[in-house]
Amino acid sequence: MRPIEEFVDDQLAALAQSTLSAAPQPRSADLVLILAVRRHAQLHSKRLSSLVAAVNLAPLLILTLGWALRPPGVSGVAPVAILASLALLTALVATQLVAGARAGNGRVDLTTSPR
Amino acid sequence: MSENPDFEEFYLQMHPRVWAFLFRSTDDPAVAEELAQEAFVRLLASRGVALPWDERRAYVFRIAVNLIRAAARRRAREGATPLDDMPELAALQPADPIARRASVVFNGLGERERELLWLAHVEKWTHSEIAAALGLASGSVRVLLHRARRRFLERFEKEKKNETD
Repeated sequence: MRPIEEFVDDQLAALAQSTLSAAPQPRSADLVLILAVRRHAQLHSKRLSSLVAAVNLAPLLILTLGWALRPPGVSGVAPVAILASLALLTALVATQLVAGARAGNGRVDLTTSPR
Repeated sequence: MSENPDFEEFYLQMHPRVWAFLFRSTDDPAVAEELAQEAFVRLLASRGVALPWDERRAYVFRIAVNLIRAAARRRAREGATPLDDMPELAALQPADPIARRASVVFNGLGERERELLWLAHVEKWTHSEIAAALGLASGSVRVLLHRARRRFLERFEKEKKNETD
């Protein structure tokens, strides 16, 4: 070790010793665990909300596509109503599927986290 | 007793070290305590908790470094708290004169220099470990550490001169 490294080493050893002795008592590990579980749940709920919001855009997509690809000569209220019903039904089913699947996978059990 | 004894052991052993690193980087005991807790919460909520001990230690310090950066940005936005408003800081000044002088010199360094010196000389990390924690190229740690040591020495000499004057 070079003299400058040794010198800094000695100085910081003294500083580290005094700093570590002044360190506060850590809060309970259980509290950290609870906060982590809550944080995990918050993140999960944010992701779920984003996914549901994306799925809810499906009706607009179906309506636009359906109207754009309609057979020539078709117009009037009936096709729009059919398309709208189809779109809403798709969105409803998709939302239910997403929410159900995410709820099933989203359980967090940090107490059994790998050692 | 926690239901995760491995985490509890890690937490109890590493918390003072993480706090000391954060305190020496931020110079604010309350912020250091808040950030230390946040670092362990983030560790637990991430895959880092499953890593082997040494890697987990590096991981939690990496989180701490990111938290320091975020706190510095927040402080810059909101305006720093004057030191007079932090009476607890005075209580944390080292009683040992060598440590007190080292504290003054160390606090006069830049944030990056303090982090480099602390990880190299207190935590005894290798250059590649420091590079990973601070997001630096492995080759530049050597140069930056050398500069930080020189700056520490310069400031030390200056401080010593000021004390004798």
